[in-house]
Amino acid sequence: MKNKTAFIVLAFLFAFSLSFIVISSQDAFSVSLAEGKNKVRINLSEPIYAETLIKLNPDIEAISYMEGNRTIGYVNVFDGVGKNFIVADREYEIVASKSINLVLPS
Amino acid sequence: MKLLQVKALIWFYHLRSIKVRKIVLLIFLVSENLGFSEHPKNERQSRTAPLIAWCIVFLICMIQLASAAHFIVGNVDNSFEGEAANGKQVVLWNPSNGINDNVTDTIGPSGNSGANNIYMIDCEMLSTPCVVGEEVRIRVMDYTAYDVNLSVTGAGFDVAPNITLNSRPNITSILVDDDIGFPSNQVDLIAASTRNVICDIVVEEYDKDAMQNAVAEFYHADSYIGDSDDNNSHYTNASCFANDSYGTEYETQFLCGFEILYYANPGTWNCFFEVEDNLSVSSNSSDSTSINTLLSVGVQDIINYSTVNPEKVSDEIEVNITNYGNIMANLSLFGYGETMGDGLAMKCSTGNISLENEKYNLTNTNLGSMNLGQADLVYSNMSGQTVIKEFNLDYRTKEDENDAFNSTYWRIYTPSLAKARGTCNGNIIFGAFQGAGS
Repeated sequence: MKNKTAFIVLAFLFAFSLSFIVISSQDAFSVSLAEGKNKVRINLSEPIYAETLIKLNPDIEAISYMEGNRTIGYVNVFDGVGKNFIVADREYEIVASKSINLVLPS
Repeated sequence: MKLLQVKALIWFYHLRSIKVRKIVLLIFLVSENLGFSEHPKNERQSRTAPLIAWCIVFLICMIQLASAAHFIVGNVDNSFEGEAANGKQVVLWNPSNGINDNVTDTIGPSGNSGANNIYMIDCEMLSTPCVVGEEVRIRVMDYTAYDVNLSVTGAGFDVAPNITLNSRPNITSILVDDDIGFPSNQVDLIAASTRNVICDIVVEEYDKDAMQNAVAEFYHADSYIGDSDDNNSHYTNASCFANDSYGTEYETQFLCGFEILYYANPGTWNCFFEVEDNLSVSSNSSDSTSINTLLSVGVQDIINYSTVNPEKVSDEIEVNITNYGNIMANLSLFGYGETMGDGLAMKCSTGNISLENEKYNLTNTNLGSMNLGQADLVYSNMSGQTVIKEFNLDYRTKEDENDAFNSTYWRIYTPSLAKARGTCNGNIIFGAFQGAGS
């Protein structure tokens, strides 16, 4: 029984540390993106275009957000296709081809 | 345990990375599968609590995933004949769920992609969102092109196979003529026979699609495309020869032959050709030529009056004259015994029969025996000059029987034995004539 309790405690400690790492990485200028889909809120003092964000981060495959019942997106293919929207203070879905630290304009 | 699970769920919800979520989920799975419980005595609770927790986790997961986007991006090339892809609609659907659950986009700058010839569709916007491994299908709407299929991957987007707007087969040349080189663009029929007319067509198929349903119709100006076949006015060939080795890799030559009967209407004729590519997009073209008039009559080889006694009129012999042309014909008649202009109807073993003794009626029969005086009242005498008689022999119009003949009636008067005896032979030249007759 002791072992089982210890396992649960360790597991949650592990989960907690992982989530803590992720949550703590939400600093506006230091966002880590895992490989795959990421929900990210980007709050920039100087807004940038989606195209610029992708050029700064070539490992981003797509960035999108919901507007009403439609998805607005910009995809890193064919030199960039989609709506070149301004990345404002809202939640975006960013798909990265590998784990990266989001590079933002200095 | 309950408290820990709730806390974990809160953490889980705040996790930004799906990967990390997966790890946490795994931990839950392992812990629950091991049967950990803080209250083993309460067996029911120990079983239901993890289940509820998992349902919540699953729902949270689903909520998060439901808001995800998965873009399908693809290129649509303009057709080879210049039809632009920009502005056309594409539709994406999952064949497993049916086309009614679909998402559309406009190709080009006015669509989601904002780029020429590109479309961009979020397949998560389907009522039943796409999932990794499923196949989706994309089709250009209101224009012919091949559909493309795509398997959804776990990447940020998928690029669909290229679509090219279909080009209709392009008929670059069509020529119709008979199988004799001269005169060109005129068809000369053959009396009582057929003339081979060929429609020679060259088709360019830039998509290199196989072509199908090649049909040529050769029809008179008074007939129409699609009419049923009629030897006088309409011929169809649905088995044209396709010569794929002709010209460039895009070209095919079609040779469509027609056996035109001698009684085909004279005048302007058209060869109309239509062919489809394998997307059932068709093209057609036509060329015209003219069929010349054919004036021709046919008659039996021998008129046998049998034995005729001296100074008697023979029995009436019926002679059928058949129109072997394609216009109404009047009749020209000219007779001679042995040599043209000899003024004889027949040359006999001994003596001869003069031309006026051979008699004809081109319209009415007069049966029974009669003397010379009676015969002269109802028959005309042959002449040493060519005479043109109104005969109004129309050309053939029936497919299954030859209705283009008229009967003529003939008798001969034999003079006394002193003038003619033995076997007699003579010649009558029947001619077809287009002008008015007497």
